[in-house]
Amino acid sequence: MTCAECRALISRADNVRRLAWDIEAAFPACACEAHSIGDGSPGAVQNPEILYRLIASPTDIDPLTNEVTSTAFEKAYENGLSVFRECATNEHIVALITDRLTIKRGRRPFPTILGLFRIECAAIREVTHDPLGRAFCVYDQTVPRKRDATLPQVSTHATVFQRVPRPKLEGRNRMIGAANLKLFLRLRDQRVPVQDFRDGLIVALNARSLQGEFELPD
Amino acid sequence: MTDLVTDRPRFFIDQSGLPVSSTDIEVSEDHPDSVRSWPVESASTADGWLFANRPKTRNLSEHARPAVEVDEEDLAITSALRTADIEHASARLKSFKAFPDDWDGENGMSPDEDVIDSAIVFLQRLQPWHPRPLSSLDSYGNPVVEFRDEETGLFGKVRFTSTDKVEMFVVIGENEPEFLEGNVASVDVVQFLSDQFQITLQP
Repeated sequence: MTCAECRALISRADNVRRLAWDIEAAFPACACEAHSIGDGSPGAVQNPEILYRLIASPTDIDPLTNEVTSTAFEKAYENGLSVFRECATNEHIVALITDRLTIKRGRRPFPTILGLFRIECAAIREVTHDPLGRAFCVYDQTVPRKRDATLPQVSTHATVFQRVPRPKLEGRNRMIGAANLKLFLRLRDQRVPVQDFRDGLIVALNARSLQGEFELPD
Repeated sequence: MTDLVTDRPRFFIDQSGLPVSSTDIEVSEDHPDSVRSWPVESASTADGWLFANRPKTRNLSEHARPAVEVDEEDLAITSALRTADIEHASARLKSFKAFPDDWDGENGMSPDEDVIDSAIVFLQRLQPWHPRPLSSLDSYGNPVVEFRDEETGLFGKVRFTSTDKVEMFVVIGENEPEFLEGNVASVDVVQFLSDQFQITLQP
């Protein structure tokens, strides 16, 4: 397993839902954490690093109770749970959030960032589930920009991938769901106020989204 | 404690706030504070109650919350709030029906309206004393009903993968999650809901 092989698989953009499965099948037990994967990345994600997860999906936070639901972190066993690193510049964060709030022409309502979670990388890596052992890998994966794929990828993006047992393994659904539930229980208490983050950076972007600024042209 | 006229079991609210069939209860004469409830196969009674295995022997003086006199007004308020939670969770699920493909900007799949209706029917079978429900939708368009009980530390989720199939997880505090998948009307699912979620569905 070489750095190039890890990059080739983890940087792949075509496999929308099963990237976590493919990574575990090709490079089990977080083997690619030994390498830096992303374009322009400052390096593999280190355990003491702080990571942030944004929530924009209207189903993942109840607007009445303001509670986060467990579906918010299930991407970890599909195509990965996008996060950004604390070393991200404001410019990086604006680029990531702008992409997240970008919608097709005519799509309503305009999305906003509803929640923000802050967690140390080690707290994710230390989650275990039998018989897998470690349940989550954190890679410095970068992804193509949604608004304009020709723009440079955001180098401080990272992704949490759940280790997904091979298909047809007995108890597979139980393992996937139970491990993901552990991630949810760990993350749900790590919520930080959106409005306090970097002097209202996210609040300003939400306001721009509500003005329709991130709607794609025809 | 059987109804002599109809010979049908009567139902009581136990000290955990849960409905218990009279036929499940035995009070020891030697130890009047010890209540034994023994396993009953999941069944639907003539009264329409659906019940499954009740918790095992419990000594009320040690394990159960002490009997407290409940203010009827407080009870009515709590009941109304929980009913509002159920209605809110149902209304939220209903609102998901209109979601098109890519509703989340991350390739989320449009839900099947019939599956959402099944989840709503499930919600409508809850009672005000059950753990608090919250609804969501996963990226495959499957409705998910979650349950929280802050007092016991219970968190549970029921994912509807089709109109009659569910996948359920429940965890209390730091314990390992329990799991079951099956037909929503099956004895196993009804029993799991009763034993793990403390939920006894109305018919």
